[in-house]
Amino acid sequence: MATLEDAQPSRDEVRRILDARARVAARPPATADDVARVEVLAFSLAEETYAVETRFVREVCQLKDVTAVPCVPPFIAGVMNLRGRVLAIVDLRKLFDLPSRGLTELNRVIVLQDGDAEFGLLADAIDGLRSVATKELHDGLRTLTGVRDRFLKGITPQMLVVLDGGRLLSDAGLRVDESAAR
Amino acid sequence: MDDKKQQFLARLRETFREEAAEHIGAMSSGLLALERSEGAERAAIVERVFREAHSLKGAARSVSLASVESLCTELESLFAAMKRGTLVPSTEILDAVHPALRVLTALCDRPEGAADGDTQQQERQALSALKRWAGSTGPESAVAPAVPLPVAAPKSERFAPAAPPPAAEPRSAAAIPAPPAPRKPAAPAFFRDGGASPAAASLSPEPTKPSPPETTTEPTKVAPRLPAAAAGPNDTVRVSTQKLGAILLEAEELLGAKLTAGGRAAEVRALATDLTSWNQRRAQLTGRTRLTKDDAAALAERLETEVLHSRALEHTLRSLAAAVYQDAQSLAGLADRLLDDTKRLLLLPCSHLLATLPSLVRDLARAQGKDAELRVTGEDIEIDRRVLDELKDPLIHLLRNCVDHGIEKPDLRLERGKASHGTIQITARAAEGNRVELTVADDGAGIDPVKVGKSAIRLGLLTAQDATQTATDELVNLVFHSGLSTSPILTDLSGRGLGLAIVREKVERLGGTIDVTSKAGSGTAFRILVPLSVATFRGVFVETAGRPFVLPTAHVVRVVRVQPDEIHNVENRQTMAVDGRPMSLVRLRDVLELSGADGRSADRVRPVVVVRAGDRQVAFLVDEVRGEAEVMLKGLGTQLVRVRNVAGACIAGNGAVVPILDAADLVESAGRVAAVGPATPRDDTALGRTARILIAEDSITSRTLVKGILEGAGYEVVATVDGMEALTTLKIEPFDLVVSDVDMPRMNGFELTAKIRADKKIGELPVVLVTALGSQKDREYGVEVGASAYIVKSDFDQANLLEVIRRLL
Repeated sequence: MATLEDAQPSRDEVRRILDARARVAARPPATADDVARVEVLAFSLAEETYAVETRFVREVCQLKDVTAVPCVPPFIAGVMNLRGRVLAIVDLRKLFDLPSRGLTELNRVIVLQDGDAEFGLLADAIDGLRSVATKELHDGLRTLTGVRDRFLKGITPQMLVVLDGGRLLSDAGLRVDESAAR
Repeated sequence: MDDKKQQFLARLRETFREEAAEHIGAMSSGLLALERSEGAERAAIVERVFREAHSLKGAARSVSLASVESLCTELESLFAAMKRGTLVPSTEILDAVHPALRVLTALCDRPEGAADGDTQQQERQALSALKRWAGSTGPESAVAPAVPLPVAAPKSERFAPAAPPPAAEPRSAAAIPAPPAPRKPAAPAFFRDGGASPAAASLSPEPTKPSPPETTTEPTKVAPRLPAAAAGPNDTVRVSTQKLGAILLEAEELLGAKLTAGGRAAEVRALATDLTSWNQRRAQLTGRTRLTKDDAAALAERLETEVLHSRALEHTLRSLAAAVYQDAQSLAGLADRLLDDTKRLLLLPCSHLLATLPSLVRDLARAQGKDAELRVTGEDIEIDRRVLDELKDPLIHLLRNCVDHGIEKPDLRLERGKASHGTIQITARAAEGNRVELTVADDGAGIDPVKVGKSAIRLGLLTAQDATQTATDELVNLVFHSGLSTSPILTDLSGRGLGLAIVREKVERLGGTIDVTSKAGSGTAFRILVPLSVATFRGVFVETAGRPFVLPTAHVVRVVRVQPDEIHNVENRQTMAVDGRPMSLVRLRDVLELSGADGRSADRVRPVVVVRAGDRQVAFLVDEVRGEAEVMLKGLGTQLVRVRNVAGACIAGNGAVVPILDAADLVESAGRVAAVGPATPRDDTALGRTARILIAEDSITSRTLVKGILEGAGYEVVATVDGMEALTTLKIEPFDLVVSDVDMPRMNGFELTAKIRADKKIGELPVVLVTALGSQKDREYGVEVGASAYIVKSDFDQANLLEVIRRLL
């Protein structure tokens, strides 16, 4: 007690100490499989929860005006203006053939990026960041459709469907490259 | 002045170094691929490598690197021999070529300095090694011992690398016995055009498959193997530090703007705080129900100061408003300048494009026994590099045209009182509206408006009466119509009337315009106007199915309103008359595959936008035409590489993304939504009957190939084995066109053509001669006997053939 009064830490110092404590407290408890964990961003879409590795997520933004583009497959919802650049928006519901049950809010866009490739994913809401142990990821369930299997990284025991961001970004099937001339 | 020239040379050398590295890289990867390839694929590679050597030669000449030039010349003739088939690529030959490439790299790396002794010696060695091979192209040459690379039976004649011809009897030995094939046990069958071995024939493509990949017209299919060559100049920009410095300064000025904006924000915040506390104190005073004496006094005082305070506040606000206005002004200026200068980073002097052209003109002219010189002025004018890249082909087309049709032979020129050598002048000039004007003028024969008129009448573009009433200038400008040619014969180089149509299409794609003026006897001048930068252009905003779209103004001919009763149904297609000409009419929403309610009911007047691409015009029904504005073209992102009918997008004033439509695609798609009606006047084969084509060709491979191509294109084809059989068949059955080989037993193509022309009944029949004989003399003989088109086999590809046939039918 006496030592503390003697020291009389300055305000800055107090803040620094508190910050450091907060950081320690915020750290997730260390586990044995710490090395093999991936951080994912969970989001909800059509009453289901999906997640995608954060290393492929550049940013999340509000869904503003989406302009539909003619002559593209249904999974391309359109394009939007992202700070002066044009960004294609992919609708996973169309890609995964999800039944459109209930109302969906669709008010977020998750911008995926890997190298040059980038596009936005439509989402109803962002559920937050999760840490997932890679070895806990199971292969796809039999019930999942083919398309989903292709873009599936795995499913957690909590039934969180983790999508393969790199695959989504690199798959030629998600790219439109077609001219009018046959 | 001299200093400037020095600087320019230095810059040119720098550019050359980069370019050379690309060419050499492409050559060496090509040569490597050559060893692993066979048949047609190999021939395509030889062709590409040959072009690389040729390009490098031209580039080396422009920076006066004689040593590189002479090495390239040897390489070129070596590859040319491979192309002709007189030299078969063998490992030994490639062993000589690769070191030569290494020497080239060493030489090109130091374009300004002299080569050291070592390099010089290597250079001499490489040169003599190359000479040994290039020179040994005769049948009795040293090629024989060289083991040819394994080759599978060529699938098409076009690229078949022929073995050294058995000297005396080139046509007799159809299949030359297979040379020992080290890797492929299957006997490689070599054959020259005209002859074919049964083995080769059985390996020829099935007739139902008209596009063997080997004969593809798109080099892109071969290209990926040679990235440097295929991708063209890589996507880097060389920027002077001066320009970068200017941009850095402007960017730094943004710091000032940032600070100012921060300051303003603080000022506004302070004002707001002040106002809040003032209001709170007033509320304290006025909120009391009972006032003490002191309060009343305070209130009176307060009222007084209130007035003063409110004046002060007004003053502060006003000056703040003025300051913010100032800030906005200067920020706008700053942003515009920064954008402008950044765009300028993409500008390159025209000399980058024009530097290699003089040698091209000289070569072209020489090949035709003419003498022509290219002069260039205004090479300092700067243009967006993307525009420059896109202009290269059109310019080369125009130069070819000048040499082919403009410049006369020396003796004829002297006869006409001109200097024996012709002059072509390219002038670049900055034009109003951020555009650049390029003129290509020659002092040749000029375009004969009468001939153009006749050709236009033949194509159905004009009636004979129109032709007499049309002004000369207008007539001459009809040369840009696809299919129109004043040349009496179609050759592989030009005369098919396609070149200028393509030139126009390319220029228009850039948002530019092209026109031509010509004085019969004294020359022709093509004038190209292109925007300095491709990024911005004018667009017409239209609306259909409730959505906005932009059409590039350069492709919009006009906007009209159509009454319901002006729309006619012709064979289930809708047409309307625009300027008295019938034009097919389609709904834009149908072409764009949009659903949703029609914006306007069918019984009302509706706006129509007439879109032109090349020389096809289609009228598109839209719901609204909103107006015209400057737009900046943006890509649709990495996911939407190429969307049919959509060229890109722009960002409208309200921040929304609006798709920009692709005129060429729209016109193409319109044809599918409702087959284009009478708008294309010569589409007579579409009127129900399939055109019938007769083939005369003695080589079974060629015959099968050509038959396959034509049948694939939807024609009805009958094949005959020589002129005699063809003539007999022609007398029995009706045909619309004849495709004939020249060199055939019993009756050759020339004889056949002459016989057809002499016949009363079939005298008008179009005859296309397809031949290995590429000489000027043969071509002239072709004209003489009355052939309608002359395609040299070495340039033979199916698109070429089909295009020619389409023109003639």
